[in-house]
Amino acid sequence: MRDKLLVFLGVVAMLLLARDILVIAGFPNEANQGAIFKIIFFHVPVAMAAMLCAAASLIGSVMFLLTRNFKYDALAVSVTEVGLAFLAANLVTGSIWGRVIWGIWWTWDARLTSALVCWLLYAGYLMLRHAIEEPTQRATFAAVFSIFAFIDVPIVIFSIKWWRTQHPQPVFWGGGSIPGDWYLAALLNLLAMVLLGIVLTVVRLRQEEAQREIDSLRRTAHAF
Amino acid sequence: MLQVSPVDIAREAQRLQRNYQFLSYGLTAAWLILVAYVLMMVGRHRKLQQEIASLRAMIEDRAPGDRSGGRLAPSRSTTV
Repeated sequence: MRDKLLVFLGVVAMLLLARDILVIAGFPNEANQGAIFKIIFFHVPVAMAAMLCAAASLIGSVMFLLTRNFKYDALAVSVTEVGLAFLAANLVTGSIWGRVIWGIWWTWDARLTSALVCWLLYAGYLMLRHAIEEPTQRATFAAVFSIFAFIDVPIVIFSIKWWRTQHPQPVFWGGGSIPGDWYLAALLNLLAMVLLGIVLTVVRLRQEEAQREIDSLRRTAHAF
Repeated sequence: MLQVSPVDIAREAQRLQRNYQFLSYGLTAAWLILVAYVLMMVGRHRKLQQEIASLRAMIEDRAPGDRSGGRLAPSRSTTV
């Protein structure tokens, strides 16, 4: 039943994404930026999905420290990994947009730099987990690190408000004006990304369960 | 009166073409990242299953008298 639900959610996410690509291709080009503006329909939803993953990771980490229940640690690592993939997609699409509009692949402005630091922090979180063998110590250190890493998330989100950045002000859910059907397409893409994130997180959680089973089998094997 | 020269038209067509080209690069790159991650997960899943199977086989070999064959229930415990 759980497997069927997972497959169903994955298929819905893929169909939504495929539908949105067709719908977005039919939209007229933006007056100033041209066709490259359409990358925003992917760039913004993956960023939001990544930030949601970071928030879920924070909740998982705090819950682990409070309860010492390893299922929260598994949730934190799973959702962090998925969020890292989303954030990588966000950074790459943003860089490609910048190459066309700004004429450069990268600039050290507050939004871009804080987003890159965010990616590096969560990559560091995963590397830290690989470096510690003992499961309880690993989960505790990782949870504390994840909580500290989350400090960067509001900086990423509000950097364009707090500082004058080269990165544009928000088009969606900001002061920008955009047609209703464009909003809808972006919202549906966000929904698809969230569904995809849920599916990937559940699959990754199962791998964590399998890893715990392996740890348990190893202990049994050593006992003989 | 504004006049558009053939050079301007050609430049605009070139700009549009470049825009579409980079849009396709962006979407392809984003999709490739997600697909690569999914493939990485599939590979890791396979490796974990193989490791579980080999550990179970090893436990069964070491404890032939054990009726359970060294099999353990999937670990869902909250402590490690």
